[in-house]
Amino acid sequence: MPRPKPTPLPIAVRVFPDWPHEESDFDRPDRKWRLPDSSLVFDTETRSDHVQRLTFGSYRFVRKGECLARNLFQADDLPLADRLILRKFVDTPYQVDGPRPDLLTTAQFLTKVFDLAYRARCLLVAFNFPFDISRLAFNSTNARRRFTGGFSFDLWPYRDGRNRFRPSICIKQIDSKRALKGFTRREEPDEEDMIPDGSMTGRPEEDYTFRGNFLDLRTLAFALTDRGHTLESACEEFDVEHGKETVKRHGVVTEEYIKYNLRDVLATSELAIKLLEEYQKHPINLQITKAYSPASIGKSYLRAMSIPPILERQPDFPKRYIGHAQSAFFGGRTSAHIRKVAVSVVYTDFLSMYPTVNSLMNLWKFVTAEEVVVQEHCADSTYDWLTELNPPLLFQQQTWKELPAFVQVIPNGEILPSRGRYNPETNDWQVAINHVYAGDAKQNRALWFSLPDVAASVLLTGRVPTIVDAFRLIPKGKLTGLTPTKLRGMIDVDPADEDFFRVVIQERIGLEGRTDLSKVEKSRLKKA
Amino acid sequence: MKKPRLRDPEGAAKRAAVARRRVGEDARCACGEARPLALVPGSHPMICAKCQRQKRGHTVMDNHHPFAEANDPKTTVPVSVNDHRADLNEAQNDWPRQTRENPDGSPLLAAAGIVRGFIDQILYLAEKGLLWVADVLEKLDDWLKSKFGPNYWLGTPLETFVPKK
Repeated sequence: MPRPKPTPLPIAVRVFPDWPHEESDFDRPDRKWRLPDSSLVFDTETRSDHVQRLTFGSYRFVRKGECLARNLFQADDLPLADRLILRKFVDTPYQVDGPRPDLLTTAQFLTKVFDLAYRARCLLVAFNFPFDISRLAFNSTNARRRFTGGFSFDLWPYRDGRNRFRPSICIKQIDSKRALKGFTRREEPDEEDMIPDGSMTGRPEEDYTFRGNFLDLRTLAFALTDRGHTLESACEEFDVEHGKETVKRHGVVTEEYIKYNLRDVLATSELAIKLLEEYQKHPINLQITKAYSPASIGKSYLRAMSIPPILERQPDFPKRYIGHAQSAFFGGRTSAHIRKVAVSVVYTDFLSMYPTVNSLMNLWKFVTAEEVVVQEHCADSTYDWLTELNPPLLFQQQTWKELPAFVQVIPNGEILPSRGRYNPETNDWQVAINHVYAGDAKQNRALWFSLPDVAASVLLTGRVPTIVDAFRLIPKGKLTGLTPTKLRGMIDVDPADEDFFRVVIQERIGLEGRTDLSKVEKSRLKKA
Repeated sequence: MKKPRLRDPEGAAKRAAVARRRVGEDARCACGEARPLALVPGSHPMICAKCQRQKRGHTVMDNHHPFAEANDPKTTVPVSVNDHRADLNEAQNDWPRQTRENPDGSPLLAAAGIVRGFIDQILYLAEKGLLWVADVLEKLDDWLKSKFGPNYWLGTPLETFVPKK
């Protein structure tokens, strides 16, 4: 099939911004943080039209695993007929364990949110937190500073505007599973609100702002499993006793729908306990509300093993090369070479592929190296190596050890990753693996790629691209003071003597034979 | 002793969290007192109200209004300042505000205050005044068994107290 004519398309490359170091109280890792012993778990229901206006919701106040209070709340503009259904529900004896629910107004519920989530600093828990909190807001504005690009939700009104003596909640979405969340500073906070979390003295600090303990279980479930979950799938995966139930019709207030909502909050509450239990198995010092992804947990393991980030241990590492490497970073690689044509396939499953590649490339040596050295300008040797590369060589482990390098090429139809707006409908930036052309052979059109990406192109196209420059990374020495850790609190890992990636692979293979894990746990860990 | 269910657990949680924060994490007086409400915020080293008063030569007892001052200003019970702050006042904070403050002098609310105050006082006395006796008796029973055998009471005046079957 003839190759179509290339279409000009702007591409984006990542950069390494060398910001001046800023002291921030928001993500300061050395702030002692203790998991609050109580939590306010809530869920809202909305109309099913495109506006999704709040109808009602419910919450549970849980302390040390015991539900001490649970109530329903109704939207202020809810029609009288719907209010009567809710009123009748709470006035009718309802055969469930735990405290009898009462019916609150949204304002009464939000007073509890202020008292418990802000004043008492308990966990404010929801599944898909940004959606639920946005349903409770009476106004939203564009957020500023660290939340620029996100929303600031006003929950507490005063006369015609927002109550400035109460905070707003800012949300900045990172992706569908993660969002940054935080209270803003309110005017004239009480002295005890200016006492930092974990303070040993109880002394207020003028510049301290409490940002909240918001726990989105959707994010936490993702961080623990590396998979996107619904409430239903998360409950199944973590073996929650009272999982999510279904309802025939959404958006209309009925007795069945109220029970469905109460059950959702119960499921969320039980899921929170299960996720906390799982999280606490990891011997890491990471505030649970800041576990945004598996990478957050991974980085905390590195800290637990006394492995600081490269720039902390090697502050004079040339930033230029970090920039080159950053522009070559595309994350995981997926490619489909035949599209929209039905063909027979052979299903091939690569168990633990990421850690296997890491281990083959000997990357643990870089992680634990005392120093990473840049071997500059090795374009010629890289060209020679690529010329000799062929698929059988990849079955030799030594070949993979040559891969930690970056190459600057002038692409001329090579199959390489690039970040562009490939879909005119969504118009968002996506990574694709395509035939990339620089347009002309000028050196300023050259782009940096990782050597594995270029090697893949060589194998796919059969030709070596024009190489302008290349550099290789070499680990030197070993960090002193590396601390052994226990993977998930069970598996001993000594970072000084063992390849962490290899340990992960071996443990995954050995899961089947483990007698100390439940079937559900094994199945979950196999997928992780 | 298992405490009765709180009327307003959310309010109690808020007060407890704020009190804990005001004295700092793991704060404790040299005497061992660790209840945040009994500790004096801002003191360094951390000290409890009782020790602070002792140090200043003041009385360590407070006059507690068991039925709340608004309901019965005359009746008071002497209690240790630490218990007054950490237990009895906190128990009153769980009452409905109207009952505790009774701003209009309602006789019914005053009566409600007397019932609530009586229950709080009984629970306090039972915990402080009686519970330790049970602990002592159980420990003594253990010790006597180890010393004189499983039926140490036989042939002693204690035999008259053997439960009738």
